[in-house]
Amino acid sequence: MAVYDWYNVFSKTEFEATGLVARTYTFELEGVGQKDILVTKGNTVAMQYEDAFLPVSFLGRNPYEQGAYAVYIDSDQNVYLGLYNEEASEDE
Amino acid sequence: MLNGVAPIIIVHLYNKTFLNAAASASNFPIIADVANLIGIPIPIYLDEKLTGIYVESQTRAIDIETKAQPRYDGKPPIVDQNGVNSLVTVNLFARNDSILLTALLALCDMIFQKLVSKEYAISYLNKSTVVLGGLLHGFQTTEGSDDDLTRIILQISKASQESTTPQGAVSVLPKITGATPVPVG
Repeated sequence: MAVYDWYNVFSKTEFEATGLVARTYTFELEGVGQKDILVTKGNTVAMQYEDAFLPVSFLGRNPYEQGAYAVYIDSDQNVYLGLYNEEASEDE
Repeated sequence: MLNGVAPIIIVHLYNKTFLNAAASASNFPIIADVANLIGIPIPIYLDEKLTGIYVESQTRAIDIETKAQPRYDGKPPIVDQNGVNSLVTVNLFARNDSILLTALLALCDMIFQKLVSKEYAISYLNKSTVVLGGLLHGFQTTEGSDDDLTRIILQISKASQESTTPQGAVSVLPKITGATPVPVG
């Protein structure tokens, strides 16, 4: 089973309340460093992290995994960015 | 000119290492702090008769970056503004044989070596334009072949005094390792 390091990036409810088309969040991700994460609102809310475009609940898949990245939304509408943890995945 | 005989440029040069050593050796560190603020002031009067340097014109300009974030619900966009720079540009004429022109050129060369360590400051006082503790933004001289004049463009940045961008702390996001961030019930 794929194991990820998850980071709680933003609240979907709060982001939609702003009415913004796009917003860039800058965070210090534990174990990674400072990163910019672009959140966009089109037909659906999506995250752009480095070269990956991660729509939230894409095709009804939660978490939605794409290569080394994943996106997950919990019942409180908190959206998480997942970075593949190779070491922990091998132990599983 | 501001209650003086002529417009003036004051170049402040100081040595942080020396001042820090003086502060640690002295029981009165406030003296070193004051010296650090003032530096060694080198005044250059800008008067045609006195020094052969003449202020032709001066311009003050503020550059602001404006970023509008559109919203899909038709409400007005959210507008963020950042101060990019606040510049005072002084256009000068100097006679080629002016000793203080040579001094000004030498001081600008010295400043170039002290840019990174910021061991300098420039003050400029002329009429309503007052810059105290500014930074050099640009310096250009042009010598004409038809006359004995050197044209100087001096740009002083006041951005060090007028920063409008708060330095926001970047939040640290802790990681949660697992197949999903929350237990699936």
